[in-house]
Amino acid sequence: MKLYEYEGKELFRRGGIPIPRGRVASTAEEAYSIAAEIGKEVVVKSQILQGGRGKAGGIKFASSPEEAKARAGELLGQKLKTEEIKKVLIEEKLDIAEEWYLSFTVDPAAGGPLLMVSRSGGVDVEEIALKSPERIVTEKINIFYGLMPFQARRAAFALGLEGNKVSELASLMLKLYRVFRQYDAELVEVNPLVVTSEGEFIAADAKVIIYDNALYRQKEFVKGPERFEDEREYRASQYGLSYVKLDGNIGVLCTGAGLTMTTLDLITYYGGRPANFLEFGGATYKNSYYALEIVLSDPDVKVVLINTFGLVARADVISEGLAQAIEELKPKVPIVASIRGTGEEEARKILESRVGLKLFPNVETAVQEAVRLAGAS
Amino acid sequence: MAILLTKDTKVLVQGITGNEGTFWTKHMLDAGTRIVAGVTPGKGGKQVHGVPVYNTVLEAVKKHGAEASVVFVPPAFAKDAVFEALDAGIKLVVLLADGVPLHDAMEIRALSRQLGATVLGPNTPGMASIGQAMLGFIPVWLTDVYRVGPVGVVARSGSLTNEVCSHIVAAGLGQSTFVGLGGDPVPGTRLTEVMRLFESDPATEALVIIGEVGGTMEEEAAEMIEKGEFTKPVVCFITGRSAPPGKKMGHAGAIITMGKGTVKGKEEALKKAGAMIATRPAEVGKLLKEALRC
Repeated sequence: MKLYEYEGKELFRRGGIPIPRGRVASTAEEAYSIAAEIGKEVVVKSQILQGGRGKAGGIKFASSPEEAKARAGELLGQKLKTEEIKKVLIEEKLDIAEEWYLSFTVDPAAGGPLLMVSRSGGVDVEEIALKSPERIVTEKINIFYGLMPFQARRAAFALGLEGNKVSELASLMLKLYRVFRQYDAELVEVNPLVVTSEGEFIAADAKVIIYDNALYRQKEFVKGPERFEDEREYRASQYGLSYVKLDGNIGVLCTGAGLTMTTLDLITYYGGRPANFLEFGGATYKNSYYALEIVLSDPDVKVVLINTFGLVARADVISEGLAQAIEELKPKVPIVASIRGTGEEEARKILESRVGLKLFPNVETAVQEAVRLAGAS
Repeated sequence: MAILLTKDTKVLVQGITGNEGTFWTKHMLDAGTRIVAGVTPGKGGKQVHGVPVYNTVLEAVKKHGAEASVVFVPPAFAKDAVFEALDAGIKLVVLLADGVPLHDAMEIRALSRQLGATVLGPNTPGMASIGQAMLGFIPVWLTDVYRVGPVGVVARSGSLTNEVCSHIVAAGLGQSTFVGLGGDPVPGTRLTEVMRLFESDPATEALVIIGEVGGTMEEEAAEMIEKGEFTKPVVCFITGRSAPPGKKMGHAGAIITMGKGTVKGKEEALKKAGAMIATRPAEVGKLLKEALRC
């Protein structure tokens, strides 16, 4: 779950990481009073989840509370990169000397936390990694020891810091690592980490992603509908299903992420276009009723393709849910299915005799039929 | 022979008294698995399908010499269960739970490496040495999918493995051992670590790698082949070419970021290293026959 900048900064504040003075506002009036409190030039920052806000015109400067109110009034309620701006963050404008980069993430190859820090911040880390990888300093972290002070110092020295600046940056790194661990984050990123003309480090931005599967123990974060790009994605998440809206017309329901991706690949291979990714494997196989309901609720869907090759997901249980959904929802679009795996004989009985679904012997034939039907309608 | 698991391996089931644990214990026993004990805290003294249940892993290890454990506990308790098994000296742990927190997965990997143990998962369908034993959710009783043969199989995804394995059997071949690495971003065991075991297994003559968009495991495999550290023929099928970048497609591991981890990149690396690439599951059988010249 990706946090808004102001939520990420709240975690930084709790962790003792220096952030600019300011607060979040939902109305132009609030923006006025926050700017008046700050009492100097401010930045009005649109709170959306996607990156690239600055380039899209979502960040404005204001030299007075009146101006802050006007800028906030213009931004609030507008759409920025498909998201509605519901909040703006009003913060003091920093006296920026340099823009650095600092993050903790998971090193996939090592399977442990990784520190990345660079003096070339303010742009995407991907860009730094591509153009000047030598400018990124990294430290691999043993999760049982955590980030050690010597590692933080070593990184600071590698950046060319001297004197008390070494311990200042090291201390900030140690604090940020604690935020990473405490909140089950998959990423905490400060970009830019501003060095002011007085030489202070300030976290000017905050990108924090909490690992979804840890939300059960990170109870203060609730992944509401505003965090999803599509209403169906949110609804699916409520049933523990993973659904991703795509731009084609073949609705897809599969068990297992790998088989689902392969089914999408096969649809593309045979010249069709998938309308979605939807996986109801693992412990959620009992939710096949909702899975079908969600796929059918997409008006783009001209045909539904069901493909299972269940392991833990038992074909008989899946089919029971599907049959019930078909009986109740009376779908107007054709359904093509290949049902295999544990309990497949029972599944065949339920789907063929009870709801008259024609089952295909394997995924290749089912996909070809779905592509044919999608093209014909 | 096989890797990691044989018919003689003494197996423990953690969470044996739960619904899934009980259901799959029956299937594992039917598949020949030598299950010597089960563990559910507070249910010690019971029996499940004739298997004695204990309160702690240590008790089960002391009484029955359990060497491997398959863990059927929910994600929130997974780390504790795996640590308990590792602490009791178990050297192979299969962690099935889907939904384990990332930080727990990092700790599980760190501890297993520290103790020289093998943890498969989280979010794995398990593993099976065909004709001998099975740990997890693998439907080895489907004879058109699993049959004893010379092909090692390693995958990040379970139901896709069934699909691919059905084409191996359709080609008249069969499997030695299947290992599911699991679909999470930090698996307890990585692809190359399993390849090392297959390399020295006399029962395995060729390897099928079922990969997936995201991460770097397939690229590491390519490097290993290129260095000559894996010398048996390799057939790969990598899924997820229609996955949009930056989107998680079910498997938390299957996310394309920083321009790395694309299907194309993985296929190119593996091809360059000398592996054969199947673009659809149905091609795997044919390529294997070419590779084994049969």
